[in-house]
Amino acid sequence: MAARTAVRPGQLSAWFTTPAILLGLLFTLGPIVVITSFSFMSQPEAGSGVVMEFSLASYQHFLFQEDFYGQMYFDPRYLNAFGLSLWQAVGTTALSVGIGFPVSIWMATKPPKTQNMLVLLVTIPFWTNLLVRTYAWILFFSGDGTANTVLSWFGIEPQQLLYNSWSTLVALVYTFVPFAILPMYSALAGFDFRLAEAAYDLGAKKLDVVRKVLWPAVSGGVLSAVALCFVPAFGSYIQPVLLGGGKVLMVGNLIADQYGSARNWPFGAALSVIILVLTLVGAWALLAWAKRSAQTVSLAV
Amino acid sequence: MITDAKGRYFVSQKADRRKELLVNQACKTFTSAEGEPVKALDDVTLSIRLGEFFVMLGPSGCGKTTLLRSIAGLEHLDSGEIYLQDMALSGLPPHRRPVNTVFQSYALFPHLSVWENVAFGLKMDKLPKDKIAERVSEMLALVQLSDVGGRKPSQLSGGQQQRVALARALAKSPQVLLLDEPLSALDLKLRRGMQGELKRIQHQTGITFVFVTHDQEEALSLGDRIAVFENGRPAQVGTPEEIYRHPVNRFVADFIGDTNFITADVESEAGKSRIAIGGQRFDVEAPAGQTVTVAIRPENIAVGAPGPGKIDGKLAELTYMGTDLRCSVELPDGQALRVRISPPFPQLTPGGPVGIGIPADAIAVVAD
Amino acid sequence: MNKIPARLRLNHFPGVGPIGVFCLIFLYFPMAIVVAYSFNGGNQALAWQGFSLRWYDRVFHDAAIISATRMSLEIAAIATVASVVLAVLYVLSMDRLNRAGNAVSGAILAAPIVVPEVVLGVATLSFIRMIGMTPGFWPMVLAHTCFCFPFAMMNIRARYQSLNPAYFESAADLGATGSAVTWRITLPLLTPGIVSGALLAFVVSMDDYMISTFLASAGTTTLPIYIFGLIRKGVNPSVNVVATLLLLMAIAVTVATSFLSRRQQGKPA
Repeated sequence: MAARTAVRPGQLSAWFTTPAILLGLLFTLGPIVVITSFSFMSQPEAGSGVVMEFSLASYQHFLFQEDFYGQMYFDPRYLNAFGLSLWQAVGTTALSVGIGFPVSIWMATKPPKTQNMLVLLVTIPFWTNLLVRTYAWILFFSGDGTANTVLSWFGIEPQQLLYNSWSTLVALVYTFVPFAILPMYSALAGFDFRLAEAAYDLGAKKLDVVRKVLWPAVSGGVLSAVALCFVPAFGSYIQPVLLGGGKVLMVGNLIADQYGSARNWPFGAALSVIILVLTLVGAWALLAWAKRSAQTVSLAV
Repeated sequence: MITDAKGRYFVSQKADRRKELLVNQACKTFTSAEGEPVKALDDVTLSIRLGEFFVMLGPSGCGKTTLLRSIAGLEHLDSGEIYLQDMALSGLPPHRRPVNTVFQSYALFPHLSVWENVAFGLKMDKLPKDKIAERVSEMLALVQLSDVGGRKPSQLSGGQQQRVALARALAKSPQVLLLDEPLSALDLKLRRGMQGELKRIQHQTGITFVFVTHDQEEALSLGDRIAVFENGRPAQVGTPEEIYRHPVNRFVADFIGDTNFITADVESEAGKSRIAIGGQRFDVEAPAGQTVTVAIRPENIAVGAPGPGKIDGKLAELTYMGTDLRCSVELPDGQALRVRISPPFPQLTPGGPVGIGIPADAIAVVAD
Repeated sequence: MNKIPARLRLNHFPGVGPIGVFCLIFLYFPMAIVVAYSFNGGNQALAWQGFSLRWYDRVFHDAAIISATRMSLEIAAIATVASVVLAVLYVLSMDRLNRAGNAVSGAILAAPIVVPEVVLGVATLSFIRMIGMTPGFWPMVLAHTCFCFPFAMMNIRARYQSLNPAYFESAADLGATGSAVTWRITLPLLTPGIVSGALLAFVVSMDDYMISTFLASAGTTTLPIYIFGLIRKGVNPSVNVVATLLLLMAIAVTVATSFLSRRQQGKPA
């Protein structure tokens, strides 16, 4: 006997999902399919775009260059950009989660009204224009900016604080601290701190309580925080360009350059596919872990 | 009415379906969270007489709410039909059925005022404005809420919200009003008051009420007739008194009120089937040679000084409850009976011998 | 609670207070500097020469900034309306899809959140070229609609799922047809979710530099694209002003959505 679906008044027929799915197919899946196929095509002799001719040259180009005599040699230039992106992303994630964890505990142990206020204060930067947030640090680090003014009070000569990987890192951490705090806080906000008291009654030490009672409750939130910081930090563009001043070559600006000044679309496409695959594998692994350990991990705030 | 061998309605002639809401061989299977099929309605056949206050009683998951929702059209039956007089309801969407529902959560529209809530169904029927206004005022007066029409539901107390839900459902003068545990969110005192109110409104309007509850006291006090549901089907349908005094099985006897269950062997004596309890014999309607379970209500047992014509027992426990005295007595064969004694209370000593009197009509043989 | 000494209590963590306060200062201090310097009267972005609104006046009369702002507002407005309409239709019909359809469409539609922005930008540009369109206004609007959709959808879906299904059932029970339930009950009850979803979609669209920059043509410079160009040249008094205004918008939107979500939580079922 075919089970008929429950009566759900006011719901629309499945056909009404079509416009959204069509848009998603056209402007999300479509571009990903196109860029994947572009990565296997050839660069035109002149100008931008691609030539419809199968080629693995772009992937080869990632690791090897052709020298003057037509010999292939290993060139770590692009691998270094990946390495730098990786380090920046790891550093950003570690610092953001490292700062965010105590902050989220601080927030979660406040009275409810204060908690709402603090969530609001953390969310405002989250929704503030990324350029504005990055610009604020340019102002801070620039030649006659606040940082140098403070240094001058201690008799230190003005320094070139901008345009290096440290200022980039500061801006990245600044961008992603709210991404780290919010998921960890929401995991902690549901935590019943009386559970911990019960554990004390049973004679547990504080470290034990943190490890065995608090950690299982927040580990999903911490992992969400790691994912939410790492993925966008790895592909970041604005901070390395504006605060790194072109000296900091990360995957994001490397890709953008291929579509801009370098005019090598197939190579840019290949780089995109590599970073996309890494991201999707990471996201998949995370969700698989979450499912196995019955944790709630979210990839969106 | 024509019934088949199993006692079910046999739907063949239109004439049989007058003046009743008939559920015929309704089946509905859900898939549980674990993927197991669960029979919510297992071949249910029920006749609800128009104009009566009909209560569907049972524990949670017994199918009573599923049946109510199927009558409203909010659930599709896997098989079976529902007729309201000559009208087959089964194929109609909820908005075309001449029945209305009072939901457990009331489901008052939070963005509409009380007045607009009550008017909602009438507006859907495209009634003229003055007719709507007249009817809404009438309904608010019926539930004694004429002065709160302008408020939002969230500004009302639980009891008031309940009345608005009732007024809203009654506004369209449905042929049948379905009530899904409408009083369960109210505290005991309000609940008692609302029970009386519902009874009054049912009398006043003459509308058929089909009322779902898991509270046996509520069922007994409200219902003209009660259907006790067990595992997706009605185990017994009858007046409160029938169900209380002659439960058909152990489940019904146990679910309604407090009951002692005694097992005894049926013997044949002078052509009659009899059982013996503590040496006393009782006529029963059961074939000889069987072991049967009989139900005896605690309040039907008399306890006093031992004497002729009484069963000799021992008083095990005694608790004074104010309006009555509760005790536990032990029969000679070791089976215990709970007894409830109304004033005037006899002199009793815990641990001492007592005489137990069981009237012949207090015994009901129940199936397991 | 009093039985446990403070040093053992789990809601007492020494050191988290100072870190929390430091973190809030870290989050707001740089922006406070921007806001302060937006009222600077001097010609230099960073040399304080007294309070003045002259740069506000400048910005409000700067034709390039005004036209870039107008372009951003136009795109954001269309993308917001489109993504909210699509999201409402999707939320009201997604339960009718089978399991697989639901999972696949959900993954495709949420992808813009997970895929790195640069990749989405170059991929969309590649796609546009592939299907024979040229960068410009409409490709931008479509791309913005696409990446605004998840933000609108998540808010609207959360609101829809929080509603007691008995509202819709009782409307139908009272005689409302399917479309009457949708118009008179579902949409009014969804409104807080629609408003906060729309606000966030609007902010996300106004915020976007990365994807727009690949899809913009000479005539479709948005505000972020224009500011990016200014910032690249270094600090600039006009940027201080624009940044302050954008910060104000973020504050307004965040406060509004938080107010809406708290109000819908506090409402009895």
